[in-house]
Amino acid sequence: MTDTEHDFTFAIDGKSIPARKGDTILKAGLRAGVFIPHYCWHPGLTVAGNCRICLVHATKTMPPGKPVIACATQAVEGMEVESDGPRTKALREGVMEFLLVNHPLDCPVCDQAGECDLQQYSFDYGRATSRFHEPKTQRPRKDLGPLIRFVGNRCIVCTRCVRFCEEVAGTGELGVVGRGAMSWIDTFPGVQLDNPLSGCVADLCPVGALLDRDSMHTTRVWLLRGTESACGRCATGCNINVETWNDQVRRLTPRENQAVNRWWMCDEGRLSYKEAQAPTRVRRARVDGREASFLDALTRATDEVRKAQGGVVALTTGFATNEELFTLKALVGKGPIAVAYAPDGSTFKARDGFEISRDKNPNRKGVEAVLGATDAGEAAVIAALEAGKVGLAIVHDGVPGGAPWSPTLLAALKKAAALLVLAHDDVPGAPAATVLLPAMHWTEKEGTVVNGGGRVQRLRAAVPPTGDARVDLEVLQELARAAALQPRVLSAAGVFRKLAAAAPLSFDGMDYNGLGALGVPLGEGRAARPASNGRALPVVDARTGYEAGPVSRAPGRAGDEQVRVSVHRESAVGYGTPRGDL
Amino acid sequence: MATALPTAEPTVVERSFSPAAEAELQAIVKKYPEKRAALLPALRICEREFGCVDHGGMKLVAEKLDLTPAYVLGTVSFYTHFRRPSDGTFVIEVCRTLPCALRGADDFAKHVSRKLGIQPGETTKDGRFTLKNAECMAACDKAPVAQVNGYNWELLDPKTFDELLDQLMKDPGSFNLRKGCKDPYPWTQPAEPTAQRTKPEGERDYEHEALTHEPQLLRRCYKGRPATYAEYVADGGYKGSKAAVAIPPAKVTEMVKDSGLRGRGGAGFLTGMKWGFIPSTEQVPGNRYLVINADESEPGTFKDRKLMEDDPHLLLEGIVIASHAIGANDAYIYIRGEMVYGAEVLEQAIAEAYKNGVFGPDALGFGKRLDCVVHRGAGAYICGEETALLSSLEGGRGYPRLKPPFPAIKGAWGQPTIVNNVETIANLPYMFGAFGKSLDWYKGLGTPGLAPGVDPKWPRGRLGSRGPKVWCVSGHVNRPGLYDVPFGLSLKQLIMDPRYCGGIRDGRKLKGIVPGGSSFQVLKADEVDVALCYDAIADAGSSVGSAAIFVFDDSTCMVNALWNVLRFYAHESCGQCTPCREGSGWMERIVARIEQGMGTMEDLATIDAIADQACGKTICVFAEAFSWPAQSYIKQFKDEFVAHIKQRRCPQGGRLCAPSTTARPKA
Ligand SMILES: Cc1cc2nc3c(=O)[nH]c(=O)nc-3n(C[C@H](O)[C@H](O)[C@H](O)COP(=O)(O)O)c2cc1C
Ligand code: SF4
Ligand code: SF4
Ligand code: SF4
Ligand code: FES
Ligand code: FES
Repeated sequence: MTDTEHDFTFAIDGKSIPARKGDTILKAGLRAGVFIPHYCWHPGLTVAGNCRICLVHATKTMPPGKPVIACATQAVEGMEVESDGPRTKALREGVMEFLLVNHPLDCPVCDQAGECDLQQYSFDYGRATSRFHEPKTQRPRKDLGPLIRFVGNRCIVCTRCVRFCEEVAGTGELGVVGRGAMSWIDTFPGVQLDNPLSGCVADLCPVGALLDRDSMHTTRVWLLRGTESACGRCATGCNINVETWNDQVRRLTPRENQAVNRWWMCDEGRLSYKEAQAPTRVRRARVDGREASFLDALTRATDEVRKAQGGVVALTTGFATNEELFTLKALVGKGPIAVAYAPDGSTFKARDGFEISRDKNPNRKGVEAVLGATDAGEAAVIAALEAGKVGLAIVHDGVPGGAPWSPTLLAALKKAAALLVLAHDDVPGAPAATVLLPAMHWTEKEGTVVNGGGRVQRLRAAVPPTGDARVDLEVLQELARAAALQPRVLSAAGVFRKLAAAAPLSFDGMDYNGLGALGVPLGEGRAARPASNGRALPVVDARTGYEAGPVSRAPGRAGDEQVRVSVHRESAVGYGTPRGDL
Repeated sequence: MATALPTAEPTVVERSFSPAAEAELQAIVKKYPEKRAALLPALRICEREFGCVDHGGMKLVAEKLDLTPAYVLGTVSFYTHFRRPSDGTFVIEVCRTLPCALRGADDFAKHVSRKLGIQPGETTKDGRFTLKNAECMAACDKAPVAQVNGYNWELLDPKTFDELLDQLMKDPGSFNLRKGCKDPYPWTQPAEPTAQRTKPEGERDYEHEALTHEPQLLRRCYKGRPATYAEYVADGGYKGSKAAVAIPPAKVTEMVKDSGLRGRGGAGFLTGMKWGFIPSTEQVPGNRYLVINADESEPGTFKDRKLMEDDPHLLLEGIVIASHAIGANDAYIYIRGEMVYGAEVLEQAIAEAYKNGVFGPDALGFGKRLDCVVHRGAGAYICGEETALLSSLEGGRGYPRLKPPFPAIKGAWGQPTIVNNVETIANLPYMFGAFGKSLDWYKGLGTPGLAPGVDPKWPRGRLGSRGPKVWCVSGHVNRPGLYDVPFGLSLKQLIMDPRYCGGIRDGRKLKGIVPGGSSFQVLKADEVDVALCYDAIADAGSSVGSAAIFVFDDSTCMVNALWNVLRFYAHESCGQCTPCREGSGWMERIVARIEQGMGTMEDLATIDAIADQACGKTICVFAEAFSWPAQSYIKQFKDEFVAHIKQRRCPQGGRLCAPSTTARPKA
C-alpha cells in the first residue's frame, strides 16, 4: 500500500502500520506484513471472534487494560498494540493450553499434521507442557458428505465451516450442535454436505477436523509438492495448487485470487485431476491402428505434414492453450480450423460473487483471442475435406472424455489423406487416425489460457507427460518445424512471446513470467505490474495471497528440498538450535 | 476415495401441522420483524402437536420459517428444555443446584430415583416418567424443587412427592396442581412498624428505615394468584405510566438517571445512563426495541419470578414508561423457558392490558403504537446475558455477541435496543407517581453512595444504591424467601434477625454467605456485617449481583459446594470462546477430583491459573462467573481444600452439608 492509500497509522510492537478507516488490527497488521495468529477469522467470512488466539493488548480500547481480539477490534489513529510481548505471550499460551485440553493430539495419525494451525501455533505460541490430567471429552466422527469427513474430537469450534456454508455457499448444511465443551459440527439427518463448493470447508478448517475424503490417508502433506496453476475444468479458471507426490496428483487446493475465485474452488474441479488417471486415457501412440513408440509415431506425423504440402486443416477445442492454438494456426496457414466446445454444464453462484461457470471450456476466450472468429471454421473444414484437398487433418482433442465433434465433421474426416489425432481419451466413435498421439491433461502441460472473465492465466505442468509422450505443444511445434515454419521447438514461454508480439492487441505487452501466479487481464499487458505471487506472507488485499487453507499450509512447497524440522522453541533451546537454524 | 464411515442416522418422520397450529404459527410470525424469530415458539407448537421436538418437527419448522434444517437442529440442540422424542408422558426434573442442594436436594433426588426406579436421563419402561437433573428453577426458597412438565412442585420431601405422584397417577391433568404455589414465608408486612431509632438524630438509621419500610415491590404479591388489572389500578397502579408518557422522552430518561436506579439484573449499571446511549433517529433511523430480561436463572435468584407471577402489571406499567423513554414501539419479554406458569400469567395480564388500552395502536393515549410480546426461552442459563438473549430472541443459539457494538446501538435485529431486568423495570412506576410515590421518595430510599467522585465514563463503583429492592435469601436460614428491604440494612442483620430470616437453621453457626448469586465471591462469617448496597458489598469483595443471597452453615463442605457451582457453569457455557468452553469443564473436573480425594496441591494453583487465563479474555463475562467463585472459595476456605487433598478423601464423606433436623413448612 502506498502512502496515499492509507488514512492513518497506528503501531504494532513499535512498528508503524498504515491503515484504512474501518480496518481491524489484524487486517491492517497482515497487510503490513505483521502476523497475528488467528483461527476463526478468515477474510472471506464474517467475524466470529470465538477462538481468542488473536488477543492482544492495545491502548485506546475500553476498558483500559483489558486485552482485545485483533480480528474484531478496529485500529484507531495512534493506537499502540502489543502483539509480541510478555503479556500477549501469556494470553496466547493460555488460549493454546485451553485448545489442547480436550484435543486428542493424534497428530501421528492425523491427516492435517504438517499443515495444522494447532500444531503450528503450539510450536510458535504454546507452552511445552500441559497441566491437564483429566479425561477428555469424546465427540463423534461422521462423513458429512461425499467429500468431507468430520473428526469431532479435533474440532476447535471455530465455526469457519458453518459460516462458509451459510455465507458463501448459501446452502447452510452445517450447524454447530450441542453446547459448551460438547459442541461440534453436524448436518441434519439425511441432508448431505454436498454443495458444489463443499470441499472448501476442508481447506478452511484450521485443524484436522474436516478432511477431504478424497485425499485423506494417502500422503503426508509435507511430502506434497505444490505447483501453482489454474483449474482447467471450466471457464472460471480457479487459481489452484496442484499438489503431487511421486509424480502423481494427490489433491488440488485453491489459491486466493480475488479477481477469479476469491479463496475457493468447486468440488468438480477439485476432483478433476482424476480425469488424468482415467482408464480410457490414451497412453501409447498408435500408427495405422497399431501401437508404436512415440518417436516412430511422431516421425510418421512429421512425414505426413511434409507430404501434405500445406493442405492442412485442424480441429481443436476450447481446452487447447493459447500457445497450442497459436502453433496450430501457424501449421494450417491459410487453411481452416474448426473448434469444438464442451457443452454447457451446471453453474453455481456463491453469495460472495464466486461463480462456477456454465462454460466448461477453460479457454473459449483464448480461442477467440488467438484464432479470431471460428464460427465458419467447421463448414470450411468440411468443405475442404469434401473437396479432397486435405493432405493432413490434425485433430487436437485435449478434452477429457473426448470433444463433441459433429457427426458430419467426423464423416468428412475420412476424406483426409492422413489424419493425426492428439487425444486425451480413447473413446468410442473417435476418428480412425493415421497417427494417434496422447494429448495431455491440463495438469500435465504448460501454457496460458484465458478464463471467462478475460484473464490470461498460466497452467503449469505439475506432473510429467503420460507414458513416453511429449506434451501437445511440443508435438505441434515438431510438426511446424517439419513444415519449415519454425526453426526449433520453443518452451511455452517462447511461444507465448511470439504470440504476444504477433497477435492481436489482447496479449500485447504481456510477458509470460509477468503473468505470475495470478494472471493478467486481456488487453492490460502494458498496464499490469508484474504480479507478485504474494506467498511469503498472508496479506489481505485485492489480489495477494491470504490462502483458503490453514495458515500453516505451505502450498509452494515446490522445490522445497530441505527437510523442515519443527521443534518447540523451548526444546530447541535445549538442543542449542535457535529458530531458523539447522 | 477412502471408505465411508458407517452411519446410524435417525429417521426423519414426515410431519405436518394441523390447521389450528398453522394459523397459530402465522400469527406468531407476525409478532416479529423477522420470520426466524418465530423459531422457538414454533418448536413449542411442535411439542404440543407431536408431543416432542423430533427431527420431523425440526424439518417442518425449517420449511415454514425458510431456515435450513441444520440451523434448526443446531438451535434445538443448544437448549435443554424442549421435549425429546424419548421423553415420557411426564418429565420430572429435579433441581440439583446449590441452593436446593443445601436444603437436601441430593437426598431428595435419590428418593425420586428410587421411587421411579430410574436414573436421571432415563425413562420408565412404561413410558410414563422421564427423570432429569435440572438447574435452579428460581424457587430456591422453596427447595427442594422439581418441575413436572414445566410446572414447579415446591417444598418437596419424599412423603409429599409420593403423595403428589399418587395424585398424578389418578389424575394425569394434575401436574400443574401447584401453579401459584403458596409461599411458606410470605414477607408482606413491615417487620416492625413501631421500631425505635438507634442512631443519633441527623444521621441515617438504615436499620430503622428497613424495619419501618413497607414492602413496595412485593406489596401486591402472595395472594396465591396474580393481582388483576383492577386490583393493580385500585392500588394506584398505571398512574406512573400515565404521568410518564406526558413527559418528553429525553426528560424521562433524565429523571431515571437522576433517580439513581441501577440495573437489578446483575451488573448494576445505571439504567438512565444506559437509556442515554440510544442514538437519535438521525444517527440511527428505524425501530427501537425494549427487551425485558426475564430469564432469571442465576442460581439463587427468584425475585423476578415472583414479581411476574404475582404482580404482572407492575412490569407492564414499567414497560410502558421505558418504551416511551427510548422510543420503542415493540417490547419483548424474554421469559425463561422453565417458567411456564409465569408466561401464562403474563399472557393473561397483557391481554387485560390491551383491553384497557395500556398497549395497542394508541397506548395509554400517548399517540403511539406499543405492542408487548412474551417470548419464551428454552433452557439455557447464558440466555440471561443480554446479547445472548438477543441472539435467542432472534431465533438462534444463545450465543453472546461481540461488544462493541453494544445493544443500545445495535441490538435486536440490528436496531438500538435496551435490555433491562424485570425488577429494574418494576422500579419505574414508583418514581413517576404510581402508588402515591414520587421521584423524591424514590431517591430518599436506600444509600446515597459511600464516596463522591463518580467517573462518568466508567460508572461502576460509588454510585449509591437507591430505590426499593428485593433480596432472595436461600440456603441454611430458618426463613428463606424474598425480602423487600431497602438498601443499607446490614446483611448480617437480614440473615440473623428473627424479624427477617431468623438466623441459621437448627441452631447452627454461620459459615459464609454468597451475597449476589453463584457467580460471585463468598464472604466468610466474619465479613458479613456489611451494608446491603452495591458499594459496601463491592468493598467487602463480592457483589450485589442479582441479590441472590445464599447462606452456608458450618456443616457445609465448601469443596462440594464449589463442585456444585462449577457443574452448573460447565453445563451452561455456551461454548463459543475457547477459554470458557474448555476452562469451565476443566475446572469442574479438577474440583470433582479434589472432592473425591484425588486432588493435589498443584490443582489449586492450576484452578487459579485457569481463572486468570479465562477472565477478561472471552466474549461475555461468563468466564468471570465461574472463575470468581472458584478463586474465592479456595481463598476463603483453603483449609478445607487442603484437608481434602491431605486426607485423600472428603472429610464429610462426600456430603454437601448436614441434613436438616427441623420439620419443613408445608406449602
Ligand atoms: C452469564 C450471565 C447471565 C445473566 N443472567 C441474567 C439473568 O438471568 N437475568 C437478568 O436480568 N440479567 C442477567 N444477566 C445480566 C444481563 O446481561 C444484563 O446486564 C441485564 O439484563 C441488564 O439489565 P439491568 O441493567 O436492568 O440489570 C446475566 C449476565 C451474564 C453475564
Ligand atoms: S488437528 Fe492438528 S494438532 Fe490435532 S491431531 Fe491433527 S495435526 Fe495434531
Ligand atoms: S470443523 Fe474445523 S472449521 Fe469447522 S468449526 Fe470445527 S475446527 Fe472449525
Ligand atoms: S464467555 Fe463462555 S458463555 Fe460467554 S460467550 Fe464465551 S463461551 Fe459463551
Ligand atoms: S481470530 Fe480473533 S478470535 Fe479467532
Ligand atoms: S430452585 Fe433449586 S437452586 Fe434455585
